[in-house]
Order: sequence, then structure tokens, then C-alpha cells
Amino acid sequence: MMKHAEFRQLFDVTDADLEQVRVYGKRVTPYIDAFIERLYAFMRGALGEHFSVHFPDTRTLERAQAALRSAWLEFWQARWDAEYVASREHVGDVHAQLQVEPRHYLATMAHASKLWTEELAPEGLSETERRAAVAAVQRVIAMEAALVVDTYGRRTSEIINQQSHALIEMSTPIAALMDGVLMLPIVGILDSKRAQDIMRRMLQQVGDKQAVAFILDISGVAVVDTAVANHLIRMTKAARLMGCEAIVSGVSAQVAETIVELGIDVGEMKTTGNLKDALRLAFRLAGVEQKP
Amino acid sequence: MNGDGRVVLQRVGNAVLIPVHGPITDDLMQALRRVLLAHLERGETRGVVFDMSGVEVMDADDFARLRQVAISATLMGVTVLLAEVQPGVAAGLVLLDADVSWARATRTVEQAMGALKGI
Repeated sequence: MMKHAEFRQLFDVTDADLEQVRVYGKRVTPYIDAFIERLYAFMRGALGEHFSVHFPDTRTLERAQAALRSAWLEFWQARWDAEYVASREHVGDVHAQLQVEPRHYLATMAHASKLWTEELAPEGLSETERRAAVAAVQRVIAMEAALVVDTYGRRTSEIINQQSHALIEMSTPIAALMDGVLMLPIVGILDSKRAQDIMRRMLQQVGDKQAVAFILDISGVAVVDTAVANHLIRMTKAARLMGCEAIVSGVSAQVAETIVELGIDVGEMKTTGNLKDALRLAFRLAGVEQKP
Repeated sequence: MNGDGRVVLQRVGNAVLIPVHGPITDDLMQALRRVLLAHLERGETRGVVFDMSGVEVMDADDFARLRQVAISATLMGVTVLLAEVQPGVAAGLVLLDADVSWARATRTVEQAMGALKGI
């Protein structure tokens, strides 16, 4: 189902409702300037210091007011089609990028609804007509707010995903020491998610760089317990399946003791106490002659 | 070995190269074992290389079937190597806790052939 149709179904907005909005709109749009003025007065008071963050200077404020004005004029045309939905999704994107709090946006929309249906309500409507029109207007405003917040949420999670991806990339700096030898210093906490990310990147690099040896330096790993040891064992097994020997370096006395006390079977995992020994082993695997 | 269930063995010097593609079924593996072991009985082969470059997805059962063929060949005194295992396949197998201890692997088919020459 197309998004505009889905939202109409969710909010039970009929063609008659949209017609009500159009007719009501013709009566209220002459008050658009008063509306903008009152809405910004409300935002200035309600948003507090956030207001000056979003509107730091007169130019920004004027630009935002002009955009709001044309957005509401479009709203009153009640064209709830794919094009209109796309324009409101853009509004959600912009709000996410500007990090506007959803509660501020929703409070502003609630106030806008109040302004249009109470303070700036047109004269000359019977009570029945007024009630029907206000119900339709409020439903369409709620539908529009839901669409914007929906887009806002999706865009925000996309931004978070991008940031966490960037963080993972930064936390797995794989260095090529020479042809066929790669090294990755692991720093911090190695949980299951991070271990899988590291393994994925490590194997990709093994394939791309045709590595025969891969040094995983764990001197910076905060805690080595059964779970961490199992992650390391899996990494070395997977690398070996690709024809690459993974060497775990930086195994301190304390870590060695923990591994033995926990009864972890490290199998054929190659380990060294320091990086120097790991490098020597890796260079030998890569066929580099070394001084005795 | 290919997608339509036929077994393909390529002789390269004193080694046998087996390209692995498509689904690894029981029937296919039995056919492969039969053909391969019959070939090894002639006594001219030093090593077997499974070219895994065409395998994008493999589960633990598929790998266990491959292991049976590899171990049978090893029992006949030949060296078995896997070559060009894809990163996704390697990661998937260890995450599924498949038994990979038997497998000796090289990055490329050329490296596998080179390793067999030294035997």
C-alpha cells in the first residue's frame, strides 16, 4: 500500500474530510500572518533556550517563517497524495538533521491546531458545521504530525546506524605491515557484536589483501574471560579456513592465568606474549628472511 | 562438481583440483567420493584441492559432508587442501560451531598447488 493511502487508512481520513479541510482552509488562510506570529510567540515561550538554538539570527527565523507559511498554505489545499507525503517526509528529515526534539515539534503542532480551530476560527459557521470541520482538520493535522515524526524516527535511527558504523570502522584499524601480513590492535571491551564486526572486517581484509598472517594484539583488551577467549578462537579458526594464520599477541601473565583457570581450550590458536614474537612468527609465515 | 550434480575432477600434475559450486547434497558427495577414491586408487595423486571460490553460502551439514570426503581421501595418503574460501563462508561456519579442525586451507588455488609441490 502506498504510504499516503496507509496513513489515510490509519487515521480514518476520508475524501469528505479532505474536502472539509479545503473549505475550512479557504476561510482561515487570510489569517495566515496572524497565525505565524502567534505560533512563533508560542514557540519562543515554550521552547525556551531551544528556540535560540534553532533560530540563532533574524535571517534564519525569517527563512523558517516563510517555509512554515508555504507549508501551511499547502496543507490547506489538502492534497494528500504521494507528492505531498514526500514533501512532509522532507520536513521530517530536516527536523532530524536539525535535531529538533519530537516533543517540541508535537507541542507546536498541537498549538497550531488550537490556533486554527479556536483562536483563529472563522465566523459564520453553524455549530454542526464547525464541529465537523474541526474534527476533520484535527485528524489531518494529527496524520501529518505522525508522518513527520515517523520520518524523523527513521532518519534518526539511520543517523545512529551511520555513526555506529563509523565508530566500528574507527575501532578496527587494520594495518598492512607488509605484503601478506596484517595487524589489528584490539582496544577496550570485546563483546559479541564487536567481535563479529571485527571478524567480518578481518576476513574481508584477509581475502582482499591475500594475507597469510594476521596479528590480533589484545594487550589493550580490558577483560579476557571465557566469552572473549571464544571470540578470539573463532576468529583464528575462520582465518585459518581462509588460509591465513591468526596470531593472538599481547597475552599477559594475568590473561594466561585466567585462561587456564577458566579451563578454556584454546586449541590450535597461536598466541604470543608480546608483539615482537608475533611479528617474527608472522614474517616467517610470509616467507621473509630474518636475522637470527 | 557443479550445480547440475555432475562430478568434475581436473588433473593438474600430480594433484586433483575439484571446483565446488552449488548445493552440496548427500548424493553429490557420495558420487564425488566414489569417483575421487577410484581415481586415488591409481596411486598417481599426491594431493586434492577443493576450489571453494564458487561457494557463497555453506551450512555446517554441507561442511560435514565435505569433511567426510576429505577424510576418506586423507586415509588414502593424500593431502587435502581447501582454497579460496570466501569470508562469509568462513565466518558463517565458525559462528555455527562447525568442526573446522580437519581443514587445511590456502588463500588461492595457486598457493595450494605450490604447497602440494613441496610434499
